[in-house]
Amino acid sequence: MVEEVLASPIIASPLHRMDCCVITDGGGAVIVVSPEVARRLNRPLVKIIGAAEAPKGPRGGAGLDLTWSAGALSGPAAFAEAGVTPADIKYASIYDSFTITVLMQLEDLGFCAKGEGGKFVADGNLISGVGKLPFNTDGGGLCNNHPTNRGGITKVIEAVRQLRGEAHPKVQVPSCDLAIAHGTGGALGARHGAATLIMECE
Amino acid sequence: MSRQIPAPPVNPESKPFWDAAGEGRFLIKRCRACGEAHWYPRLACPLCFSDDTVWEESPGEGVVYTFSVMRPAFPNAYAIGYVTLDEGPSMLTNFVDCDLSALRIGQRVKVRFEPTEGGPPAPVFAPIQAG
Repeated sequence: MVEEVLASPIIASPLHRMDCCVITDGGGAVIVVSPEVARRLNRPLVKIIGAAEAPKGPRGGAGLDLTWSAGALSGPAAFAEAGVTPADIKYASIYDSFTITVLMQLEDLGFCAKGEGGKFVADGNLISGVGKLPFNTDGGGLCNNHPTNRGGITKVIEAVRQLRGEAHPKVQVPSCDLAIAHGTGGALGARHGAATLIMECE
Repeated sequence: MSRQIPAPPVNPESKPFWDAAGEGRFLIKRCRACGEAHWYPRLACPLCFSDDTVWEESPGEGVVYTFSVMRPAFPNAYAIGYVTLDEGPSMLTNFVDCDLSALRIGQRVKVRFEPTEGGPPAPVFAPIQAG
């Protein structure tokens, strides 16, 4: 509940404790193989159709603008390679170190206009079964796991679960055939990188 | 002092800056090839990569771009943020000697130097009082 978040103590203004991810151990792995090998594995097939990464740095302090992240560069490049648009995406795993991280990535990836991230989330769009963009159905970093510096792998894993129809039944997105996994690393307020992966079912 | 600041590492590239800081002077670097000032000071301009950069003494004035107050550090809560210097570049720094709850984006601030733990003093910023 929003009230609970706002009632939790301030950590680094304006972020409250519940705006911050949990701290856990953890890790993960994915296996990427050739189409020929994949077909022999007798598992639902998930294919990478777009991938991009981008850095953003302080550039000697010139033209500082903290309202956008490197996701504004990696996102469009991955969508272009995949030949799909944000409106086509059925499920999104988005790195959520802090609530602001998600709002910025939603905007930078083109799921809503710049400055509209808060409204997009408040309208329930991230809730599976309710909104336009079911998101982090494993609970994400804010509610489930954040293995330091390995936060990205769990994003890919949950996206693949959704595409295989193997997510928890309460949050499985029906006919989930196109998903995005996206993350940032480093410090959003300074030097960081972003990576975007778009996957579909075969 | 609002908190202990670790001694900054001094190297040949940054030594003129820290030497000046020890005298209470704030230096930035400007590139003679592209004309732009940058932060932090470097031998090669981070904007055009020319090595024709020169030291320039700055009044150290600018405006608060944004800030965050670290509250769990109570009773020594401190504020970090970016200052956009009048010369152009923005720098990550600390805000001191003020009511942290009264800090505002766009507020005019001026550099001052805080002691560090056994090193040269570090540049921090405080609001410029009106009038």
